[in-house]
Amino acid sequence: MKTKVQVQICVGTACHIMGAADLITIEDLVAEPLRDRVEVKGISCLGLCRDETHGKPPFVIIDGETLSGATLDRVLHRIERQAEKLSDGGVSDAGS
Amino acid sequence: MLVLENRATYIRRELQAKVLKLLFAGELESGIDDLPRLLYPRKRDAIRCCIYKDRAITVYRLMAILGISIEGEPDDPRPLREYARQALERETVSEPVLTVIDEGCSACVQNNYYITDACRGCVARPCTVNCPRDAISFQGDRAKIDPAACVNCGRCQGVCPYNAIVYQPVPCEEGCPVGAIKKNERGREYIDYSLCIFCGRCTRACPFGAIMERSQIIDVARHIQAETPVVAMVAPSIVGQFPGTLEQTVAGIRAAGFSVVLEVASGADVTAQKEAAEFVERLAEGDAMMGTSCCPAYTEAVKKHATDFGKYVSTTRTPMSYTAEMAAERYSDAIKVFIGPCIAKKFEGIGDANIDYVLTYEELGAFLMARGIDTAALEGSAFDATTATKHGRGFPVSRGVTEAVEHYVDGRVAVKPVLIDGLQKKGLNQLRAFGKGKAPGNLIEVMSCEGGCICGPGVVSNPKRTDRALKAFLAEAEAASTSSKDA
Repeated sequence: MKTKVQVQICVGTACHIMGAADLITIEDLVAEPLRDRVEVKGISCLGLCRDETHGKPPFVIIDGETLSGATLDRVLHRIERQAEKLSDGGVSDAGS
Repeated sequence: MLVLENRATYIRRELQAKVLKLLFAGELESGIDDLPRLLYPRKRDAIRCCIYKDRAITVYRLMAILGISIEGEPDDPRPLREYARQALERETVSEPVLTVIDEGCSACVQNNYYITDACRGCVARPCTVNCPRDAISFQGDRAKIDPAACVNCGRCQGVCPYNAIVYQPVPCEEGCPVGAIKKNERGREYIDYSLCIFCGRCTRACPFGAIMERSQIIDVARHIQAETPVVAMVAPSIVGQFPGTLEQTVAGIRAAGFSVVLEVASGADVTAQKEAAEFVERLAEGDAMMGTSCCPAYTEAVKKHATDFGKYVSTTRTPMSYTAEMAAERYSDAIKVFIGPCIAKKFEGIGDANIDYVLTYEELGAFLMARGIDTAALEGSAFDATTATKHGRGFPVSRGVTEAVEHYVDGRVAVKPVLIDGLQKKGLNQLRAFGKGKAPGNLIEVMSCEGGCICGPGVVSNPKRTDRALKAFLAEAEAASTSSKDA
């Protein structure tokens, strides 16, 4: 069973220009009790930016779910929600 | 130091990319009038008072991106397609390089001091007693400042026992080191170009994004689209601006449509060598000091605000100028484009016969986004015809120019550097004082942007990241040159 919230931040060129570089710092902003339950990594371009139906860069994938136009606040919020799901014993099936 | 991570930045970048995407699809004229509505559809929450205002401001932003000077246009702008056609047809770009969206200006406070609800209407009332202009009166149980009488001295703030008085900056005015941006009779900002040094700080300081550079992306893209050869001359602060290695960024620039990619660090080496020779010569002739010459915002500041120092400014040309001269000899039929972190270079470029256009890294980023190029996925490519050394490559950080000049002076005379890192009012006063003939050193390096070019208004990456990347790149280049180079 999965124990950590997986956060993948696209560090492709478009995402980088639209703020992904800032998002990479998110690991330091996660509240202390959650910190060891979150895994943040940069991933290379998925090409989502080339099709506007996917939304705007920067793109972040949290437990398999894509967030477009990601901001620190929205990503943190999503991380907290996912962490809650995990601690409730509910298995997040997205991305598994 | 400049912080670019904000929504005004991302809105600008998104619009630049959308405009170029339309241009490359051959749909600029037919599609540009739809952009404001597509970006702010009726169902979207407004950022300003309503989506109609958001759309109206977007129209003005797009005009600036098309290179139009908004001040010169009628109250009710023409359809964007007409401006687009005008942009596609123009042969040259014009001054000024900045433009103000006065409709977008929020007309920030007239007075910098404001008395908040924390005022308890005390008996002592030191604010009223200590105000030199009798500008504070009591309305009910709270003190109030009369904006017409207040002179922003700040004494009231200092004496309030409740810390009830706050200082509210006007960000663009605070950013401007030369008082060139001011309020008109309606409280909105305008730029006095007789004072402006084109440093571009106001454009990034305004939280409403109401001041913009007049972009030349259309001019460059039009030539790329027409398959005219276009030379990119890239400033040394490019290292670390985009994902992947420097070689991958060069490959990205080629993929964006530039046919030749030159390293302006080559020109920086020429500047450093000539400046070193000039320095030795000037000191031998009895000059007390010499000022560097590569930062165009600073040299413009000397011309307009510290004229006495003018005689000390090196007459050596800038790295851009030497690189462009080389490009003009070698690629005479090509369009020559400087790409850097700088807005003042747009101004310098208009005055340089060898430069056709100037883009920022941010604008280069718009080309990459519009064409769906991910630099990190490309196979690396080297610069064309580079002769750069670590000295030229080290220019874009504060102290870099000094170190390069010092290297080429090679001990002929003692270099005593003075650094003005970030041109503020204080630095300008220093330059005025040095102009009288006395300075605490003999080589005066001035960088308009605090931290150097890597902190310029046109950068994409956080300067900390660029600094790290540049240091690693210089160390690597040095290791390679000691193992392979024979003079």
